[in-house]
Amino acid sequence: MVHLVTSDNVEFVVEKEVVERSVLIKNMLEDVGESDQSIPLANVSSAVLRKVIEYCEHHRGEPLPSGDADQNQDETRKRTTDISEWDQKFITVDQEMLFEIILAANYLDIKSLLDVGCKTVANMIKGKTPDEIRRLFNIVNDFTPEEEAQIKKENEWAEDR
Amino acid sequence: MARSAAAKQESKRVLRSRRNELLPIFRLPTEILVMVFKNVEEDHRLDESAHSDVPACVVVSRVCKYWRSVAYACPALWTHIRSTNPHLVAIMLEKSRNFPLVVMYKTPAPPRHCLKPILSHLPRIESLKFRALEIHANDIIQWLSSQPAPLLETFEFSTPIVTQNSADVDITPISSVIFQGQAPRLRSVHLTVVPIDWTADIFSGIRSLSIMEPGPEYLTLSQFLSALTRMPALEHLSLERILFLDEGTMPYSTVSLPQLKSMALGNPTLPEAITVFRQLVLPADVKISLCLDSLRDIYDLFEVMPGGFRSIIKSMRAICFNGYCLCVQFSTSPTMNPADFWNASDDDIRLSLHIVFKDDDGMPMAIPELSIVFDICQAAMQDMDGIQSLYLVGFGSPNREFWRAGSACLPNVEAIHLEGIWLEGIIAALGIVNDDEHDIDILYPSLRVLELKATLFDYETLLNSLQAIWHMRANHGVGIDTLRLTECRRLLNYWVRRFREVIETVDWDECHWQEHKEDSDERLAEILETGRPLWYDDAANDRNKGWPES
Repeated sequence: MVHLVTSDNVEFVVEKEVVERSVLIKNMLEDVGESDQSIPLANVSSAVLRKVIEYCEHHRGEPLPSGDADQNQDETRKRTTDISEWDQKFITVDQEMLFEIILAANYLDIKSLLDVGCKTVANMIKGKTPDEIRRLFNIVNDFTPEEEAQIKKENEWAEDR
Repeated sequence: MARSAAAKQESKRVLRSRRNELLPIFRLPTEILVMVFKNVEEDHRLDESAHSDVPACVVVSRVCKYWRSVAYACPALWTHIRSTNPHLVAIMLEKSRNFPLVVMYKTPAPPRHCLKPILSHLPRIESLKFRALEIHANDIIQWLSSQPAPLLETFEFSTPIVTQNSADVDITPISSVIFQGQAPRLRSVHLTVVPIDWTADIFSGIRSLSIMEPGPEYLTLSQFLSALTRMPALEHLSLERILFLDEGTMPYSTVSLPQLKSMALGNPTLPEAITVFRQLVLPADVKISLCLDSLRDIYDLFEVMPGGFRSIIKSMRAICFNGYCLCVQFSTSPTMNPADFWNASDDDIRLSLHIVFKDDDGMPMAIPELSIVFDICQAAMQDMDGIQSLYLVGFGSPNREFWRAGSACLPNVEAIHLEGIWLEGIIAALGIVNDDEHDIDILYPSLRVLELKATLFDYETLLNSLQAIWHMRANHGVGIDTLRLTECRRLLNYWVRRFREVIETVDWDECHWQEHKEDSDERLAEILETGRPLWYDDAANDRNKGWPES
């Protein structure tokens, strides 16, 4: 079993096979060898780590994605934003938690979870206008007048066709 | 005063930027935001239903200052060009910097304002697929010949089908001058209604070659075979509507294509097809599609064709359409894929024969005898014992003799799938004639599964006849245990219940057959009338559904 301590000082005891979906932790364990010492995760809160462990539990035993998977691009392959049903349900959380999960996946180096997170955000964006995207994420338009003029011109070009 | 107002505006803008920085989404580091943008861009590109040709990266670049800077700093987001808007094309060419480009147009792009600037980046184009009107083809060929294409892997170029509305243009053949003779990575070439100089050695390393109607110039078999000798790595070869010139003598040399996986020959005469196969040394398991206009000497053809698949064929499908076309296919899987016609990427269908029956004047003529499909099967397969499934589509109302010929040809068929076929003939065929106790005539003795698609159930006697047959066959130990009913017409719940009383498994989709709203002839007439260009590579113009005559 592996002991993990979160930024808010909560300790989790997790099976090695589960936690080793994190490349960061896997490498740490390989470096330090068998030990009862806790691994501090200063960038991950307990609420987020709970979700991350839930994900790793569900996907335990699955092959880890290889590093060159991205290079295997092909027009006929499944669309990038296709997410499995379980993953979709798992990632249906509020925006704050979604971005925290993505950050944790990035920090812990769990590529498949990072992909699910990025695809979810991509799905939220796709098909929307810039205005709709701003409303979705509460972003305000902060373009300079020159940039606004440029965008306006681009829109006119598009309408010219 | 104005300066002060501008400074105030700028302060407000900076405050808005600062406010954005506090948002949860702004916690994502740039590299993750880039991953999100790449997902959005790729998904938009692969989404067939997305009608807008404005790239998704343009949309995200208009959300806020930070997103714009991230999108602009990522050249990979701007490399897939398919917009016909010259201004967007210019932005993409600029923002993609020196990254390899993928260019794909399904409609003709404005040649001077889109294609020309894009082709000025030829040295960094990786994939180039486009259509152009014939009047622009020569300019485009000139631009394609102005620079080398060291990264180019895929090249597809189509001009419209030649019709009465077509401009009278002599298109310069694609020759060794294209890409200045330098396209070392080129692996796939598809040319449709674009002439080709067969002596060009620019295509020497290619793996996939598809040439469709390269023009009125005749090609000799010697030229063709000589071209193939320069393509030893060829894996897929498709030639449609190519005119072969009879040289009178047969070329001596043979050509070996050891890597070939599929070969489709459009409209050779049977002697031409026989000569081609005689001169080619092909792997035994190569997949073949042939479109022929005669079956005379068909045995000679099968004698010279590779036949490594013949002992592993599990199913046969015959499609009859237009009253004068037949398509006969052989698959190594007992279940045929739902698509009707030849598809080189289908690994199961090993042989697909498409025959357009014509009279002596070259005019389409009615199929002489429907049971000819079983003669073709015998000629192609020699041993039919392994065929377990028979698919028949659009045969109208074949009589008992047709079914008898089928049973004699395919004695071990376990499943028959019928689409759009009247049932009287097969009901008569599946019935057991018992004139003499010692001479019982049972057709399809191994039949266990009957699938009926788009069948019309229009009178009750049909139901009674079918029920009688199930009983009769079961009593003779040759019962049918599964009946599948798909998109059937006028089929009632009550009938299905009656079927379930006598058949172990009855699957009914409860869907009703829908007549296709668009008639292809009407569509074609409308296009010809409006003068709109017509393209071979549109799905609706599939060769098997009837091409317009040039």
